[in-house]
Amino acid sequence: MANPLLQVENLTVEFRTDDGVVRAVNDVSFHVEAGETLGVAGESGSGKSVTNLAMLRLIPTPPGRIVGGRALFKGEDLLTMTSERLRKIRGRHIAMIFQDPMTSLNPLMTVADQLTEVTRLHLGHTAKQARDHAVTMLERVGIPAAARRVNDYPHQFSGGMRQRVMIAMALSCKPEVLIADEPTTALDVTIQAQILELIRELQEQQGTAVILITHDLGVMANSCRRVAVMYAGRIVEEAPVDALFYHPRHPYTLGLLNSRPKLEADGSSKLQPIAGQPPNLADLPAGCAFHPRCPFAIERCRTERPLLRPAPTGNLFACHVDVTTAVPHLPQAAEVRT
Amino acid sequence: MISFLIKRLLWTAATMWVVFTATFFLMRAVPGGPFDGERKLDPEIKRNIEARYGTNDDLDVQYFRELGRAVRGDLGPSYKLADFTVNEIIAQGFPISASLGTLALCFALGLGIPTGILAAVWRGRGLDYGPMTVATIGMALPEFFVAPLAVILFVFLWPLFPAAGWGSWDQLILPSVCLGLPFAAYIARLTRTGMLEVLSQDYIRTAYAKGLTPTDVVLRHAVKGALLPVVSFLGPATAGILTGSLIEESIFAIPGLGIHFVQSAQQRDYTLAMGLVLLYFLLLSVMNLVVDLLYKLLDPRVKIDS
Repeated sequence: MANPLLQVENLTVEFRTDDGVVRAVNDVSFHVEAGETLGVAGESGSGKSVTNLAMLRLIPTPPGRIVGGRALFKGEDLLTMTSERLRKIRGRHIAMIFQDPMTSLNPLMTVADQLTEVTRLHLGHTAKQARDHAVTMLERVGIPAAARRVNDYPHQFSGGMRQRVMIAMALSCKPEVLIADEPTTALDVTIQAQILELIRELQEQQGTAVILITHDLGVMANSCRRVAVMYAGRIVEEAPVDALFYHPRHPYTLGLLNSRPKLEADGSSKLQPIAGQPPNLADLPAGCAFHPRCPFAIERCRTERPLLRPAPTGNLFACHVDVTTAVPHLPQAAEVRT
Repeated sequence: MISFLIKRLLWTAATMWVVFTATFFLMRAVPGGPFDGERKLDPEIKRNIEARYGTNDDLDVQYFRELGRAVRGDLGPSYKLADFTVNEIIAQGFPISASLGTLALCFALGLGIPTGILAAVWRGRGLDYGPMTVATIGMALPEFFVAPLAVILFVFLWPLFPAAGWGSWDQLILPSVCLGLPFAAYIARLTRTGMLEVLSQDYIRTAYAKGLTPTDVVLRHAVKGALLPVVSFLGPATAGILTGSLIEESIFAIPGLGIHFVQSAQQRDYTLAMGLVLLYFLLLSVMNLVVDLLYKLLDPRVKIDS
């Protein structure tokens, strides 16, 4: 762990909104090593996308502002380097794919134009080389008749095919890090599996590290080595994937796991949703941000924010309570709601 | 594509017939005729004139005669400008109005589009508010204010250009700039709006994530989409600007078509009014066709064959 490929330290991002300043990412630290897959999980608005966009300074400023922290890529801070230097890293060393392949590709440009501009920019390809490379990449992501389809526009592809194009584009410069921001959320379930499989295959071939942002725990379980769970802009638990699923230590992680549909033989198990709503980031509860929804909350949680601490299973978790022994009660939010 | 063009041609012809018919009857529904003046004509003379132009015939006879003529491309004699046919009047005035309009349009595009793009890119800063305030004022100021102001400034105070007239290049500049200014203002605002819309799209974020420079993102990824609203505005605007402006042409003494639009209607010059209406409509149809084809060129998702 001496020199991780990418190390984010104490990243804090604020947005100016009508309700005041909102801290979308609060003191977030994590690292990614070469070739591994880190999962980032959490509800909408938990800050998982903003964290990764902020790392590449892709959040709109204003209203966004990176207040503090560092994002070291091979020892260089992405947050303070010059824009020119950063542009040489974006797309070349760290590439991104986004949630909605319908809107993330430019509808007015052919796939060829969009693919070749990256390699011409970063790899200095000639028009011919870039084109051949684009076709090769499309073939590698499994687009049939790639040599012909490369001239098509995005709207002539289906959703899954478009995400394949995005992946081809992101991987065409062989980046060391691929940030996949909910890459399968907008796709059919059958296509989801194919896309994840594709990302994994290409990751193995190229040794790419992947940050997989998703709220789908099933996806996590299958693809990630480590998982970070975010809540209200903070990482509340980080653990190797098995430890997270079998020995969750944070009540929020536990809640996420319990709120997944399960296949029980007798069909008796009911979904247990997490009570209440995600908090308003402009007006966070004091103490632990999760305590109004937490079935394990104790008095201390209302006043004192828990820090990340290690568990013997390898988890890092931010909770005052030991959920393996504590007895759950009805959370405050549930009392209010009913 | 071919079938699309043929279909459009047939539609234009049909609409043109409707326009012809509506104009024909509307003109004649208005009280007064081309040969009524303040001074009563001698009844004998009036009868002779009316016999010569056939304005005494039954309406249906006149209608079919004029329609038949128009179909052959002959718009007949002007009722008020003796010895001129409508075709001759248009042939003289239209090239002048059209060249003035073309220049004005080039000026408007050349000023409006870059201003709009820069205003959007520098949104919320001085380089956005400044030009956009000027643009709003430019749209609000009437031509009969801007043109004399320009004359005072650039003819009298700082004599750069001649005051009026038509024939040499330096006479072109003031009127075309004055004519183009409100269009430039409008185009700048449209471009800015379109640009802001495009710049908030996900694919712009993708473009930045690829490592492109802001200039490349704007020029390669954003401008094309941002121009779509401008293109749809340009269709009708071009038809309007090419057929001349009464105010501009009066102030700068330019022998264009603008003045005829007003006078032919006021003086019940039935044939000339009809000719101008048909000319304007034809231009409008052609420009709308050009807009549709340009749309197809800019946005591959647009299907024109349906």
